[in-house]
Amino acid sequence: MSIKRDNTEPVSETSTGPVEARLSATACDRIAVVPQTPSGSLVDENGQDQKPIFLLLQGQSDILDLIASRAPLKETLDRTAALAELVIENACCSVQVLDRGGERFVDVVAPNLPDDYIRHINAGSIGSGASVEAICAVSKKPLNILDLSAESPETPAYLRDLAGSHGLSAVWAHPMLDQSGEPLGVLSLYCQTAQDGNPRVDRIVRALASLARFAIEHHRSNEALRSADQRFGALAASIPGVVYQRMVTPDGQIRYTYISDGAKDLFGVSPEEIVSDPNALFDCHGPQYRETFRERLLEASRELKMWDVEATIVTKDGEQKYTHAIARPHRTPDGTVFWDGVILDATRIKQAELEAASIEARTREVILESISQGLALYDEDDTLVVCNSHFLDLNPELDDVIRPGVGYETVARALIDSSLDAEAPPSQRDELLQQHMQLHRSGGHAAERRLPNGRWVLITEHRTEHGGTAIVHTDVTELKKREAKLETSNHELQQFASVASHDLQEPLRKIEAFGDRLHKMCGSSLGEEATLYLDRMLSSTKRMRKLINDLLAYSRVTTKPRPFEACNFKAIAGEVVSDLQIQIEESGGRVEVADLPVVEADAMQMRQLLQNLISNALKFRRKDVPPVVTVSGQIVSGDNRPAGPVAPAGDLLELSISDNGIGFDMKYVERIFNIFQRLHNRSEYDGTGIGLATCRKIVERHGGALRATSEPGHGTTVTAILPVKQMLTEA
Amino acid sequence: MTPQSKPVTILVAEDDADDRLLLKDAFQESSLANELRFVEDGEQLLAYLRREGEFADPGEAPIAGLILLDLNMPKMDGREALTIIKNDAVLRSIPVVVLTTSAEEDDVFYAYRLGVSSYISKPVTFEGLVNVVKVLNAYWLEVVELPPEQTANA
Repeated sequence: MSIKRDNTEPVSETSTGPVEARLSATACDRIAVVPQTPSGSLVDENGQDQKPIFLLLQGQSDILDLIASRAPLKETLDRTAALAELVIENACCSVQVLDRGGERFVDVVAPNLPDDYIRHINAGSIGSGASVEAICAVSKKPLNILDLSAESPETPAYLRDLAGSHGLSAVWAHPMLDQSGEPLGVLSLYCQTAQDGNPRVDRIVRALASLARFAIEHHRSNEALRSADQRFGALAASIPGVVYQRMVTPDGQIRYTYISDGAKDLFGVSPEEIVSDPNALFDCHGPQYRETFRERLLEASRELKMWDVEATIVTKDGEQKYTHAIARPHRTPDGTVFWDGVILDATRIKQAELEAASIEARTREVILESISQGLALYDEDDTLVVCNSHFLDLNPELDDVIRPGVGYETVARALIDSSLDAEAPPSQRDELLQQHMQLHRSGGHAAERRLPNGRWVLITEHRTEHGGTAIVHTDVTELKKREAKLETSNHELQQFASVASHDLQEPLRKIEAFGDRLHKMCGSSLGEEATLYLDRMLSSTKRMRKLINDLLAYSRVTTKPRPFEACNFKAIAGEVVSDLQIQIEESGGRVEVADLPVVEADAMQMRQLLQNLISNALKFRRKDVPPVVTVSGQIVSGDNRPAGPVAPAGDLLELSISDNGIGFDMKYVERIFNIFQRLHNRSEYDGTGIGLATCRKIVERHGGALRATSEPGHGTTVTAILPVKQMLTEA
Repeated sequence: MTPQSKPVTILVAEDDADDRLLLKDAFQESSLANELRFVEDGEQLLAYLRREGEFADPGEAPIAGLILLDLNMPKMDGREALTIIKNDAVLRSIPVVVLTTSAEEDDVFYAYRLGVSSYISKPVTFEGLVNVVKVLNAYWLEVVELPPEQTANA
């Protein structure tokens, strides 16, 4: 007996198709020409018994059924080994399956093979070549030894030893290779009788090895699938929500092809129910939702838009929840759109949101109601967003009009209607409304309004950051009352000042006149002392008259105002300088008047202002320095306006009167503009202390401000800041 | 009537005794021979001009050729009296010179609108007053031809 080694290429059935199909085809060809003998036995044309072939076919078919029904691998392989032993007399078959690393055999199915053999098969890794199966697996080639008792270096020693004790004298080992040519295992067949190149045995071994390989591969891919499935299931189960796949067919049918178990938790509906009828899911969204959902889904499927939908659901158990669904579409060539997505339980987020919103709303409510003004807020489209109850208290006639979403114009019309007589013609209403809307559109404005109940409201309008409007109604009734009271008392005070001044002048004039008479008629007979007293008396009277006149001038700034007109400051200053000519000449100094602009003002008062300031500048001169007074002016942009009670807009004139006089310490700067405030003794510099106060009053009436800078011994600059255009309208 | 045959009577309506004294002194100082007659308020002024009440006797009320009128007086003030005089067909021809402390624009406008001949603010000093009297004399009593004297009750 010689050892026959099959030197063909490593076995691979991938290119030639399923072995069993080929095998059956061959068998069938044969069967077609095989007559059935009367005894029922099958004999071929050579007189050989064909029964084992049919058994083989039958067995193969049974095993394929087992594989298809996913029977345990061991059972399948067991049946394969049994089949081999059935069709080949006196044979023991074993199937060895390698582990995933291809290191060693893990499953050995050998129903009838003696344990001595199995020990060798199981001994260590296949690389050690401990068994004929290991050698076969490593070489990936069939290894047939037809006579084990024959002396041969290639026959493993153990086989020759065992052949004696078990009578197994031939072995066919056939490797099972996967698609990439790596070994999956080995099928081996031992025969008691030495077989001399029996091609039938070889073919059967080949066929069964293919079958076993198929069983193993099928088992492994099933296992891989199952574990992928398990992984996916575990993943899906760990998501706090639902994973799904749904399809939308071109004719608009919606079906869930997969939905994870989370559906049960989220919707209270089992995945099976949803897969069989999607309405089970839709119904959780309420009856109205079903159709809108359908429409949205069909539209999204047409446009392949991302699906991102928040919804309120009621579970089968009646619990209300919020869901957030996100899904991505993909279209298959037949036009069906598949959506892979998740539905998350957003209840807690939503509840937190709602809570935050409710806190915000409550806070807003508290703030809105805690302010003492009426407030109405309109958005950028001029529709009402919110208004507080004070607003309605102040405007009860708006009760029927005010509601969120009402337009600004509607509210304005209602206010205008309520402020007009019922008989007022519609054209008047329209005109008023148009004027009002124009003001409204041009930006914030302010107005006072007398309510039908006699109260006064100040209405101010503010543009918000986002282009909306905030309307603030402030009850100014008390303010108005106080204002009126103040005006009356102011008026009375002014009248008093002016009347008092007149009446004070009367006795003064008499004292002067009679003093004068006394001086004239008895002057020569009066003693030196008496004359001195009389002189002092008369000089006091003069001073008194000056005081009264200055006080009158001070009060006349507001009691006798003249309208604002274009004033040529250059001309006015020229007139004042010529009026002061005597004083200038006496002082030995000069007044320089620069080019001055034309500004809107009360000409008379501007004259008085310049007169006071220039004559002050001349008066407070240094003893031995001839005074030099400069009058200059410049227009400055209103943007750089100084702080203070200055008119709200427009360019300004900075009118400066500078001198080289005695100056003053800047710590007195606030005082010098106050009435009766003086910094010098009268014997040094005469004056009433009313001149600068009058100047300030004049400038403030013009919406301007008066400033002074000075340095003792160097001079003073007084600056009057006056608006170029008068915007203040005087009552 | 021959001009300057007899100096015209000057009627002064002035409530203030001091001012009356000062005026009298000023006229004396100016050495004027005109008769000065004084009334103390608007009502007296009208009574004088119309020779009513205490002025019913013609001797008590020589016909006035010029009236010096103060504006601020009790009972009936100068403004009111002026309005009545200037609306009186007979009295309106008597020249009225306002002599007052008021320098109010309103008063000045008002007085001229009613037809006063002059508006003079009372001078502050006696000297000034003497000066005013001299000017008044020079103008009204020497330069100007006054209307012939008519009796108010003619």
